[in-house]
Amino acid sequence: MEKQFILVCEDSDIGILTGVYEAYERRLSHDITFLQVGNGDNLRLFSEYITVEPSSIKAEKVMHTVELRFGKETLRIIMEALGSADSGRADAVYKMIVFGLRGKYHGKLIDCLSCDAVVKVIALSTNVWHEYHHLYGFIRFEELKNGILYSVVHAKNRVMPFLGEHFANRFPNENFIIYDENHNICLVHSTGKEWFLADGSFLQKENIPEISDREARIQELFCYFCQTISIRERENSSLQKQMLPLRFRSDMIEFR
Amino acid sequence: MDYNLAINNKGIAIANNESVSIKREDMSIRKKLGILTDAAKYDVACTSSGVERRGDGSGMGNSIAAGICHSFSADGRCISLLKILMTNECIYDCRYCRNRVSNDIERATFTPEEICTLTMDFYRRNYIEGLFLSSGILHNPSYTMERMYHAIFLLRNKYHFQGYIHVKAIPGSDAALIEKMGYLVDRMSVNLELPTAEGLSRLAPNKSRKTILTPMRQIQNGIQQSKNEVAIYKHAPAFVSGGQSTQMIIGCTPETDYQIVNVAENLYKKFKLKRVFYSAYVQVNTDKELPALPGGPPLLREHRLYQADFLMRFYGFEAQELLSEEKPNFNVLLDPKADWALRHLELFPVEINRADYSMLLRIPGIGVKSAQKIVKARRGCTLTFEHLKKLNVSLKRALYFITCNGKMLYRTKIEEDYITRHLLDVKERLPIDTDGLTYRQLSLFDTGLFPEVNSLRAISG
Repeated sequence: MEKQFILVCEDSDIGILTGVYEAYERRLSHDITFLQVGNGDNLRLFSEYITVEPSSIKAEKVMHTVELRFGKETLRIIMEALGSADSGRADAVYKMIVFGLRGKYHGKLIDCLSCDAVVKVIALSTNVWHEYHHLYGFIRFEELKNGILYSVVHAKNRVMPFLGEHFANRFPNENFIIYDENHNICLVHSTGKEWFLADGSFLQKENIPEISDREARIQELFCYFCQTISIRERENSSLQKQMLPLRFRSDMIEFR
Repeated sequence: MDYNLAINNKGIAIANNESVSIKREDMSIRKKLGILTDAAKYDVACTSSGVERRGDGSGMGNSIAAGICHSFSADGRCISLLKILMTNECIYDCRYCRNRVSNDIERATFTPEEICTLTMDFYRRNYIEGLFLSSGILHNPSYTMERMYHAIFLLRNKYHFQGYIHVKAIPGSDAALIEKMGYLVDRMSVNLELPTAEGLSRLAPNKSRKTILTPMRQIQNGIQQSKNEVAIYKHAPAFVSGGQSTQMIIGCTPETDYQIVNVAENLYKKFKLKRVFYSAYVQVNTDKELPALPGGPPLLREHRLYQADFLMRFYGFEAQELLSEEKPNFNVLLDPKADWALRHLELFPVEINRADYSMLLRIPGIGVKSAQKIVKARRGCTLTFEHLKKLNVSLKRALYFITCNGKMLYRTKIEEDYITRHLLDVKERLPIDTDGLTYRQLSLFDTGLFPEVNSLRAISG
């Protein structure tokens, strides 16, 4: 059996994109080269493991090439897919870029559904889109005593960059923080400024003030609204579960 | 504004105890919200889609074309907008409506300021996507519309709200008010109430088809004119940019499904509506003119109408193809598309690698997304069933109607009885079974299997 090369990347967008760059730089055959995020559960036989040091310069070069050759939409889909929690995402993105750069197709790269890697990347990107689109609606802000809006989410995928763009445009004049407990990242936006991501330790959770007095009243009003709006004759909890999965509910005030 | 303050019905906030003398019909905002939400819950058009607008940084809010659902109530319907009536007082006496003048119920009216603060407070916490404002008729249609306009004007100009707003146009109100309102909101709708004019005159004596269709036509013309202006002057103000919708009550009057889909088709073609919503009649009043619905609201019928509606809007079907004078109602057991396919077996099986897009859309089990994927994927290679599975195309129902490379997935017969039997084995995912209950107490009067059949019987007498 031919020897295989497995490039082990850091678990981040930059890490994976650096892996793609390295795969080209090392001039290995793409058929026997694979990308992997982290150390993985199982070691493969007859393989050489190469650890890739993340480099933002190399990652940016890859992003630049993708945008130049395949367009903005493809870059967006790839970035969404990289946010997924799926362990095969690094290899799928790598194989898709290889397929694209070989150029043996017509039309747009994302329309080449005869290529398995493209199908996989699109499926991952759709999955991530679904999650952040759900969160656009299901995030609940609470007003703290100091006037800051604070929200906690438990996301499966790394969706914070997509949330940042949306909420910064929606609430340009608010100070808000969204904290993703699963990934220990927080998104911070202050009035009239750009938003940024920070590590969870930035938050100093023990110093978060209590919710404001007015907040409790408005929460109660909204819970009352949600109860009243339902039509008793049509009640259907299985449909409700299908539309609003239980995993989101722990962070939503109307289900507490 | 503080919600602890009592607010009187004429809209004067009573900030201190000195002015308690005018506190005649005071009501807390919580109570008003309860009454006016309860009165608005039968309105179905609660979508927030169709408008893409980014915030300009000066106010609060934006709008996403795909629409955003913020929660789902216990009946499984989406909570996207703050759905309220401005008032549930009404001078009309429509027999099917809970707010009819002859009903002895508690009445309340929101002031424009209350509507604005409630919307802003909910929006700021990301509870809602915007406001849905409808109303009973207070004094007369124009007075009501003017008060609604006042609320929306404040929301847009004083509170700088840039989110989604959907307002009901009140039939019979002044045309100038509707026009002014159209420049502030994203979507407007006029309720058709009932599918036919006869039903309307019997159950809603104060309304007529003419007064309903006049504002609908006015909004249609306004939208067209605004589009023309925007084409020339990029920053011309947009009029109802999210389009116009309407809704009608199903199962309150004895119309057939055929009549209803024809009405919907006409509305799409002649009035360029974005959506027609169907609302299964929920018995809120008892009246000799109203049907008794022992099986609950006709939810399956509503579901079939929505299926047909999507077939007409996205799948290229005409109302005439789905139903006819001889077969005026939908099949209870099969969805309209499968039903159509079984009546047109001469067109099947369809070869996936060669059929055009419009024919792919007509295959039961293949939707818009799957058809688009097939068209894209077959440019690169000849598709097999393995490919279709990888693309996540559902084959459960499609397999009886398609070939890949001239081969069917299994040995199947193109025979109506055979396919019907197998399609019935594939359990259709209906949004109406309650809590997965699969057993039911036997009753002397019905078999319990198809409550909708019984309710249909009850409607037609």
